[in-house]
Amino acid sequence: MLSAESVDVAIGHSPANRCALLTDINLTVKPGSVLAVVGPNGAGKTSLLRTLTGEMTPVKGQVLLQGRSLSSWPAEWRAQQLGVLPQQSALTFPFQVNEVVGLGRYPHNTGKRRDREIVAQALAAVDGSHLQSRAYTTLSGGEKQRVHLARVLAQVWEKPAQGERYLLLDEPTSALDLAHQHLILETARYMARQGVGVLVILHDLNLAAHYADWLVMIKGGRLVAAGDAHQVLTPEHIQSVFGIAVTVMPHPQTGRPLIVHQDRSPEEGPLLSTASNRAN
Amino acid sequence: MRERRATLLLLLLLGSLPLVLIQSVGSGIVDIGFTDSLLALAHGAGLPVATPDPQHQLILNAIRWPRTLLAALVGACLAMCGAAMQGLFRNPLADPTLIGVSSGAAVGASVAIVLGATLLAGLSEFVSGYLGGMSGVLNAYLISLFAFTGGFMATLLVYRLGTSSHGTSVGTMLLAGIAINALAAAITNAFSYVADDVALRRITLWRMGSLDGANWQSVTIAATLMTAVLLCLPRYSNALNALLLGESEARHLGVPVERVKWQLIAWTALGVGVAVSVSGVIGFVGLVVPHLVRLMIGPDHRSLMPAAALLGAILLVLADSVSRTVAAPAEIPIGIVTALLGAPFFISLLLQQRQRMLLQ
Repeated sequence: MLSAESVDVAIGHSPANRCALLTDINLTVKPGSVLAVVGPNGAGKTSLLRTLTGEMTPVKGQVLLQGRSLSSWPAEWRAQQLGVLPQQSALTFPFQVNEVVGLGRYPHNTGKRRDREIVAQALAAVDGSHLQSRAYTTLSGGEKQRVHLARVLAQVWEKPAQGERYLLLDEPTSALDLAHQHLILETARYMARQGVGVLVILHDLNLAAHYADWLVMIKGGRLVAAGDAHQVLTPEHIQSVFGIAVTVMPHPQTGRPLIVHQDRSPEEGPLLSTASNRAN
Repeated sequence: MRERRATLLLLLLLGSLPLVLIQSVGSGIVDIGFTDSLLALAHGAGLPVATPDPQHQLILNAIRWPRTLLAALVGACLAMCGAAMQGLFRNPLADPTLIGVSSGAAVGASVAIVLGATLLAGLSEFVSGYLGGMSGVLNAYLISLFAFTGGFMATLLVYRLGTSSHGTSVGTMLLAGIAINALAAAITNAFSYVADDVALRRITLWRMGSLDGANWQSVTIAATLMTAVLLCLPRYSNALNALLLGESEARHLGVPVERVKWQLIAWTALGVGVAVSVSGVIGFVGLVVPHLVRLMIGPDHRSLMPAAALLGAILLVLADSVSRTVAAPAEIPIGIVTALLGAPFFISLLLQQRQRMLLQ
């Protein structure tokens, strides 16, 4: 299990100019399930992910991996367990796609042939097999995103000697078309069924409702709601956190929440007038 | 597919290197020619061939071979350090000369030359009697050490200035290079001003880059230190590949980023420092060679590093050949040759980038 216990994260050295990014976060990513993190822009979702990966250190509380403090794990073992997909990539060198995916095998010593097999399988999982010999720099934004996801999948493809596997995905669907959005999340769910603990940050509440086993909703660095889709994605929660009025109905096929926005009548004025509501 | 191309290129370069070496020792003011040089080498190896001309033998063994081997080592070292630096800064324009590392090393070397001269002059007859034979070697190692320190401090400064958690800023990096180059020029000029004629000529030749004073002594020193660099840098290939993804991504893959960064800075500073201390400031090799290799076989450091080293060796040996023959009997300092070829190449690189940006 990868968990955050009573975690506070802040930036700024002295208490005077400290800016709190997360306050009193309690969260657990369980192997075998998908946890979706939703919230408005700037709520602290990426900061939460960074704290769980060890990039940010909490000023209070701790992050535990398999019961041990995250920082006590040696870097290589951590790398074999945690596959992290950031929002953006800084890669500008013209690697071939299969070379980029191959970088995910860095923490492992499985030899070239096995690595090549895994790279091919990971690319197939993101519908990227046809891209394998392309230069990374010539791809579209969505294709690049899929390549990085394949890299991260390749990183946690096999069970490590110690510990469990986790996938931490920061908005993996942001640049993808509809079909690929669902493909990626189906792959994430599939990995979860193989025993991987998946945390995924999503903007689309319907995707979160459909694919996640558990959800947390964050606003202003605090946990507002946690639980399954029905408990978290209620019109009241969404109104207070996102400042938008919605109707929640059961999905005709799955019964899960389907969130539809309420159209505003012209007399109510532009949405921006409620900006001050949302800012708190 | 790319792997096969990389292997082919490596084999091609490996095969060409001895040919280029022999061709180079054969060329110069006294034209010995390829076959005669090859025969002389075979004779020296104990093979039953005709004894070569004794004058040719002298030229080859005392002058040409040390010089050519030094050119090969320096070329390999500068090219590999350039490749490593470009991976470290995540930018294909990072070249030891552009960002001020070479001039930092030159400052260190100038300090050592001037200090060394005064140090040795100040030693009593008694001590220098003992050290007499060793003083040349010690002096040379001292210069390498100071050059390394100068190069190291320059790299550190550029790195600190140009890199933040968001990545390297090319602009800041190049500006830092300009600043360091200016500072280094000022200090070296100051030393030139106070130096005596002998030291002055040495300093001046260094700034132009020259293999003129190559002898077996300098080759041995260069060889030991540069071989260490050439053997150790390729071990960072996987880490460098991962670093190109970005620092935090590399950390997620388990790369000990801070440690790797420091070690890379140290190794490249050593490589460039030693190269500068034996042959002066030779520019553009670290920029042109890795770029050419990347164009042919891609940015994977596992093949980029050895290929860059081989190509750098070949190119610098050829440049040395050119510097000795094109204006014979005069010798053009090799730094001039590399700059005359390298600067237009750099300009064409910039034009390509500009075109790419216009298309976006």
